[in-house]
Amino acid sequence: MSTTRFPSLPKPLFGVSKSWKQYSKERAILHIDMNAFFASVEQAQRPYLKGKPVLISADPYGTPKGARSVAATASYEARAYGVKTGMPLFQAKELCPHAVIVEGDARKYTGISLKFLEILKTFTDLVEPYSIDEAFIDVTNTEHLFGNKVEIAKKIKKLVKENFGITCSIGIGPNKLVAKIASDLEKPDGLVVIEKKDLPEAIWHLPVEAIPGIGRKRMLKMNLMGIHTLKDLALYPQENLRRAFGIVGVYLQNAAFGLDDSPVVPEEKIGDPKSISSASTFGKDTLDEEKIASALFYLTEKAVLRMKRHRLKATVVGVWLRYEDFSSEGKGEKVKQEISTFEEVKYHAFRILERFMPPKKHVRLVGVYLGGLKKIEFEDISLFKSESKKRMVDDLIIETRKKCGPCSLLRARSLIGEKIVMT
Amino acid sequence: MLIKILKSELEETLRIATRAVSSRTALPILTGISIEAQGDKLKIRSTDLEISVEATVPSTIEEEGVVVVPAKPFYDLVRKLEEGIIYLKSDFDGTELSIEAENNIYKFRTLPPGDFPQGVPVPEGKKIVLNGDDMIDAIKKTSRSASKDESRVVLTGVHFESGKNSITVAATDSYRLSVVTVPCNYVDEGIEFLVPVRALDELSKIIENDELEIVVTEKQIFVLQGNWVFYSKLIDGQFPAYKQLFPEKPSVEVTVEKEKFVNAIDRIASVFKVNAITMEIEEENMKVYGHSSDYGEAMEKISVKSTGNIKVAFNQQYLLDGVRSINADLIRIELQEGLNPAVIRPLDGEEYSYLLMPIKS
Repeated sequence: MSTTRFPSLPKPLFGVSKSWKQYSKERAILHIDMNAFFASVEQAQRPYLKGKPVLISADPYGTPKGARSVAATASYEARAYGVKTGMPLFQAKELCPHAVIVEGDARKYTGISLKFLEILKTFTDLVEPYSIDEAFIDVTNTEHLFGNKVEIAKKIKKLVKENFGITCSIGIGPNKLVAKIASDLEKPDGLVVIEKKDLPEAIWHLPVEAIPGIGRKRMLKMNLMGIHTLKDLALYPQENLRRAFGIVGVYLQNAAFGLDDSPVVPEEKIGDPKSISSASTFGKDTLDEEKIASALFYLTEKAVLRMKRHRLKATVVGVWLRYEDFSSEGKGEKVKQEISTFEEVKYHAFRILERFMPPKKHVRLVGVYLGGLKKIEFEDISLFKSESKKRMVDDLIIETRKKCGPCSLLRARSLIGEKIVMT
Repeated sequence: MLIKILKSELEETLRIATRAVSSRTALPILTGISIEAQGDKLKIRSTDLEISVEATVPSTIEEEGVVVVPAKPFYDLVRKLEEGIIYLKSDFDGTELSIEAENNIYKFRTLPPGDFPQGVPVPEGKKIVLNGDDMIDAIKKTSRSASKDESRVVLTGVHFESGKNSITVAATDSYRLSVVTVPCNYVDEGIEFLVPVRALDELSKIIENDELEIVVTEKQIFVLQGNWVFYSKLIDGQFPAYKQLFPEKPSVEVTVEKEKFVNAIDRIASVFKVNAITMEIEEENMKVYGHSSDYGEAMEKISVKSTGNIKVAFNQQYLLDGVRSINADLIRIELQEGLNPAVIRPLDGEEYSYLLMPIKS
């Protein structure tokens, strides 16, 4: 199993446009963050892990030193030893030698994540997934139906606990930025409300890195400029910030005032992608063609199903490889007829892969790309039953997964070289 | 090598002989043509390993020899030369080919002739003899229906099957199917083969309205006419059984003027960018309409003769291809309820049918 099969990392940056005052009504935004998600899920499902430092890794059996496996999540017990998420596994082991290392199960976590979003959708249709274990919801217009925003937060916490046996931290604010900052204030199992009237002072004591978008690099630069707290940032001359950070500097200063007018955008409302790609890093660099093909098979299916969910068809298929030395190689192919089924895309993807097989160097990553996407306005029906059946298989997989979870129905070939953890 | 030839004759030979030049440069030798002078004949060949063509032209050969030159610049140059006599000369080791006319000398660096694939002599096999125009007609009517996507190799081929004094040609991309039967002057029994549509597209550009001979072997077909031989690999695979797809009895039969119908679809689809066209037949009226996500709504009315009322939607491209491919003033459309195929035919005669599926909207 690879690390990148966990859904992608949070998208950065909150925005403030000049018209931020357009919201006449004060918004009620919640940010829900499932605490130490992967580790908590494992602890909830395997009681013997409770109270113990747990590290979740994609490749727990990898060679200790220099191996690329990282701690995808550390339980709070492990964090007490200074272990951080994303830390190389060997380093985490040095800090916390008695930690229990558990192989992560991306499919299981994705399944829970989807159910989590379903729970949130019972409170409002404005649910924006932010990462596998976080989401924003806007309850401005549905608050009154459930009591108030704090009541909603309490109900969500209860439902998450009941359904998954884990805790979550919820931040409530007048916008996504403040909600996110608030949820980070109390972990685990927190509930923090920051009211609009208390801004910006309510967040001014916080260090600059409380703002999403200020990472280690920007933080160090700001510290050098004498900016340590959000108050420092808010009161800093804007011109100097602009010079140091460009336009981002202005955004960050706005953020220090707790200003953000970006709406909560439900997944369905996010526009169709212009291209779809799906890539996976191998636990260990490999020369094994079957393993590479199996990964490509799985990734192709994943990309095709995503394309299908958006009702798109592709005119470009690409495959790329990254080698052990980080050099890359890939090729795109324009297809003469728009394609939308797994069988069609697979044919092109594998034909491209063949050019690079056998691999000349150890392969670190393989990825597939679908481009030139066009909306499917209607469905052409095949004259031949066997053709229509292939299409039905794709639709069936999508439907089944929607109902029964992402690992409920798989094509067998994507299991080769892949360990599925049964619990 | 030393050849004396008329520019116009060389140009015409090259027009035919360059049809199989490879467009891909993976094998540089295949971007060339082989010029072979032997006896009193000049033979020019090209191949991309799948299709090949050889054209022969009588000429005065003063010294025999073989050279391979880059096809495109060579042909382009010959085309632009003035009319008159041309000399093709190569030095003793064949590394250069010079084209000399009255006032011009061009020297082409050649490619190693040993690398160029050997030609294949026409073998014994089953035979079809038919008129060149009929062959072109069959290709034009079917080739559009063949699949362009190589993921279904069998459907990228055009299917030929011999009948009694005729041959039935069919192609499908699984959404529509074209079937045409053309008469033959001679045809052996039990012939069935699948030719890549690309080969036929190239072939249709060199066929003249004259008798044409096709020799079929297990793996290849050879097409002979006049001074050229064209051969292609066949596709190995089972073409879908298509005859059973034709509905026994249509729900509604509509007769419409081709010209009016084509123009209506063309306006709605090409100009107004409607992709899904609905045909609604009521009494003697056909409403053709659709929604364009770019512009809005489009509707046209055409008077027709029909045996009933029905409403069906089609992919505009497939509908237009089908209607356009019919050479008749009046066309007959057989429609069925539900998700069942429609058949478009010329009003008189059964020799051509175009089958297409409706769409799920």
